[in-house]
Amino acid sequence: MGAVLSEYGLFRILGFRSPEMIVKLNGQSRDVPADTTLSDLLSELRILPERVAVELNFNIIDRDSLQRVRLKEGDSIEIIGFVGGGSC
Amino acid sequence: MLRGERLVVGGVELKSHLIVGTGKYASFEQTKKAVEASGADCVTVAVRRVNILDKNQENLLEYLDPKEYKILPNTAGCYGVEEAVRTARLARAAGISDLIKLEVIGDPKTLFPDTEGLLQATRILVKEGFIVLPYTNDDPIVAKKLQDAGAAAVMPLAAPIGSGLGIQNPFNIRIILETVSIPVIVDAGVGTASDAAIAMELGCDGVLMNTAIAGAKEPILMAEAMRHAVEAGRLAFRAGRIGKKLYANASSPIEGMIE
Repeated sequence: MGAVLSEYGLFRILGFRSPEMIVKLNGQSRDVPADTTLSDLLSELRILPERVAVELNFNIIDRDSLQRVRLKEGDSIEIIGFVGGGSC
Repeated sequence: MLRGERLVVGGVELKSHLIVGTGKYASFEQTKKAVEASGADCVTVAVRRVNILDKNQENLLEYLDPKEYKILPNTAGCYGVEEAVRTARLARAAGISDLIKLEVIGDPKTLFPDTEGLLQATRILVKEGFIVLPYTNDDPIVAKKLQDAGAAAVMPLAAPIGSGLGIQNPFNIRIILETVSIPVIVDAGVGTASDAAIAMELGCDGVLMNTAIAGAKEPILMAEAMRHAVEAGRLAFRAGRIGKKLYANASSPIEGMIE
């Protein structure tokens, strides 16, 4: 048996909308489908991973791992990038 | 190496002795034009939450190509060691290099650095392999401690951030230059071109500024002025200025005067 199909993956194949869960994104509550990966979240937001850093519950997630890491209810995500600034 | 001859940041020799900030401009277009006019090839940027509501938001780095400019992320706005270290780690994860302009601010009114926290954060980040450029007071003792902690350069203030007061204690800057062997880059407080020239005449390796350019009536023109000021100051330092005397010293010969 190859890849294990998740419960929610099966939901989708059967045409059900996957259940939503609430996470905190850049300090704001947000509903996301239950099987969302960090990579899914970035595409949904139209953010290129090369431009940002992603922190999940205070841990920085490598770009290579964004596709593997699935969100859980109550997770706190920070998406950080560079903006104009000098000092303070 | 003679001080003021060239500025090396993070192992990279920069073409310019001027580093510019990218905040407070009217647009990214204006930022780009001002940076170009300044001749700087290193720019500092802040690290902030991405605006997730505006999906069409432009990115600063589309205007300042990291292949063309050395990007120096900063921890501006951080008031504690933990916050500054966290921001530095995120900057590295988002960015291109291990460079960090480290700010640990002690007070919102003066924006003076919390030097105790700055030293702690420098030690932590150096251990993690960062190239740390700490924004510090014009205090030679702290500068020496930062060097001992492994800082790649020290960035003493000329005056409070955004104040435009110019170099308030040139004697301390001179003592810092004699105390440490790492590059000294005056950061914050420059108001106009002569301030930048003075920093370079003192022998500093570089000057970093933001508000002096972005807040000028004509930012792009001021950026050009700063480019000339930094170059003129550096040349004057290398040329070696004359000593100051109380009385006149004629520059024409006394012999051959009409009697």
